[in-house]
Amino acid sequence: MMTSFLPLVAAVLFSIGAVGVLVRRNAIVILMCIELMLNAVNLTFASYSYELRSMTGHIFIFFVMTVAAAEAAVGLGIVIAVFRKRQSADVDDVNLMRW
Amino acid sequence: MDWGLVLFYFFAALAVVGGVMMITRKNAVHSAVYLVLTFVSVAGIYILLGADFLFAVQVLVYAGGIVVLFLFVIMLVNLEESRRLSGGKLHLAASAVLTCLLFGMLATLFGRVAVGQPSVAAPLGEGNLQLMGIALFRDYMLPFEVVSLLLLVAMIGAIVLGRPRA
Amino acid sequence: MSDLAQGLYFLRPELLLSFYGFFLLLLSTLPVFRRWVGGLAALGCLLTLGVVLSFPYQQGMNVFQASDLFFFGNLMILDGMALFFKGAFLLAAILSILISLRYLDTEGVQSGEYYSLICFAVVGMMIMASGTDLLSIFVGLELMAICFYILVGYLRGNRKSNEAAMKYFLLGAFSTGVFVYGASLIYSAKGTTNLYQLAARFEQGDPHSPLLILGMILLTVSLGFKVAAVPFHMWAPDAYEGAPTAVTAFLSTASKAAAFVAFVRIYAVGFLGMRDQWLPLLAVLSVASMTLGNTSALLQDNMKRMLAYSSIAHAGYVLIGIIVMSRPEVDTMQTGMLSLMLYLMIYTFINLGAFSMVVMLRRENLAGDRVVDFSGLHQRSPMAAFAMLVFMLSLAGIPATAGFIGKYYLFAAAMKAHFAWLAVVMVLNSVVSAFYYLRVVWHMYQKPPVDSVRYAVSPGLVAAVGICLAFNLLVGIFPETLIELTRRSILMLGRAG
Repeated sequence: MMTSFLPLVAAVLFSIGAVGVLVRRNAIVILMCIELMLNAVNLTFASYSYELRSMTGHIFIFFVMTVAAAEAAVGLGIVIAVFRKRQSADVDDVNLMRW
Repeated sequence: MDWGLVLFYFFAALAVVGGVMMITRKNAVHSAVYLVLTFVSVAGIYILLGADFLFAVQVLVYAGGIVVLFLFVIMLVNLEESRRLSGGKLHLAASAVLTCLLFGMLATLFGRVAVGQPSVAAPLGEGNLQLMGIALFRDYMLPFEVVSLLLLVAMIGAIVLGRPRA
Repeated sequence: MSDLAQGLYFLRPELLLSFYGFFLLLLSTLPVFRRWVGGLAALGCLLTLGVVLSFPYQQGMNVFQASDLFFFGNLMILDGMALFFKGAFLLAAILSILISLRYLDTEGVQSGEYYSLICFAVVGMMIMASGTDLLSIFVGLELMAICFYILVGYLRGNRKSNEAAMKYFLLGAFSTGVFVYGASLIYSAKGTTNLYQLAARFEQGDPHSPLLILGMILLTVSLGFKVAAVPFHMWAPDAYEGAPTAVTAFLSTASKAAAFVAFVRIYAVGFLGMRDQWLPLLAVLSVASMTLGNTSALLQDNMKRMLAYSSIAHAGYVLIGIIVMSRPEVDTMQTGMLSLMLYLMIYTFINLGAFSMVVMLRRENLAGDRVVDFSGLHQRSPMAAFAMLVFMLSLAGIPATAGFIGKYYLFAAAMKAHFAWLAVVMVLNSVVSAFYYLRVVWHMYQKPPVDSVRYAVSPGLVAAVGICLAFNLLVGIFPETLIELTRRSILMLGRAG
């Protein structure tokens, strides 16, 4: 019961994260949304790992977490670099959708 | 009454609420706090699935490490409240439609999911940590070493990008 | 522990280059060695290239059995394609380092970390090239991507570079999330993330679950981001323009090739059983990339932006190779593979050459990346103008250049696989692309020079341009050697072919 519902929860979280990435204009919040998406991925893996009685999913989660941490470090470093250059906290106009 | 199931619904609801609140806050600090709520709820779900190790890592790395890093940077760049939450109305509508489509697709899919057969049968729960250790250091040794390199690169990157210009 | 020993033996290039990266990092802390770090980095890549080339000689070309190729369980494979691409990445790295040597001084960011990051990025690419599990591909991809996020933003004092890094990072991280979500759906549908096991489960006649198809679509989106295929290309022009030119050169060649290896492994091995599903998807991506890339490139005044759009178009051409691999006949599939590998190798040398020329025009107070900066190049430096002429003709695919050979093989592969319409679209696009490549040539030969400052050439830059030029002309006129090498790499394939 639990594991049949869990992927759906994960899908909701992934969609929320995706909305955030597409809609929000603040680089730090976008990064948070990406972390949320990665958490949703981990939930999906955990759920099927439980269902299939397989270790692969857990291993994948471990690596996704590590990568998430590394990405957060580098991403925030970039935010700081942008901040230093402009001497303002305004990171709002990173325009991601511009062609 | 199955308390495990009740707890599961509780955590699931909490995670979703945290997520929604996170993307709708104008203040980045509030977003970060709601992100912690989601992370902790996900950690709770790991416990219910018998994944003790992942629970510990989730709390330590996400709630303890990554969010603190976020808050630290928000303080450092002294981020005031966003003037506006998002881009233009059109952009907002387009994104919303796109995401509804994505979610609708996912929801219908999981409604009739066919689960594949397990590759390596492994009992979860009690011996989870031991199994995880064996898998990580024997079968998945190479990716384990590669992510150590990746963390080193992230460290170099944070220093290179973050240090003041000489 | 003989498995481990064999694994480490097969992993020699990656190990050597990782240690070399550490070594450069340590060396760069000593000011005495700072001037030598760049040269040493190039030397390290050269040594690693030697190790890569030693594999076929030590093992003999055909003694590899399919089962002997795997190492570290089923996570990695060392087949001809992996070796071929490892060589290509290393060559691209060497050339990029050669053009960086003086460029970094001009930009005022000379440091050892830059070179060790290039080394680590190549390690990530090499792991991707060998990866046969979504997990190993994922960690390799991330190692490469994180190195590139840093390298793109390496000019910290430059606003464009910062913003490029930000944009590239946010979209790259997003595409990572999409990649792992796709992997999780595939795992849930088939219970494995290993590409060969996945292929075996298709052969057993497992039903195609909708989860699997969605997982495949998500992986396509994510890899589409990495190769900058339309409609996932929006990061490319900004990132290419803002990044240090030497990094752009590396990014547009090696990282694209690495993403294409992952494409081949995932689609031609893991998802071969659902080729009917991915074929239309990739065909749309390919046609859109070719058409939109070329038409947008027509409108650009900035050389780096123009080359960015041109590289989007070239990603579209290369996708044809993967589309051809969807054919069940083995020899058609091999033709597709051959044309793809050939094209990526040739493209590496052309594009690196073209970006070297942009680096050459960079001076203290002139960015030198506009098309008009090339005006009158012929009068000021006939050799440089000739080199650029060759690169532009090669990009356009004019006969007697290497670019023609690459395009010809893709065209022939598409015809052989009965994708004549794709071949026609490709040829029409090549005609369109000739306009903007020849516009640069026109500027060089017909326009008066904008200023008379001498170009700052360095030995590294001259060497890089020379190598690219020689490659383009030699392969254009005598392509047999390269084609034979590529063909042999395919024969060494486990069972991907």
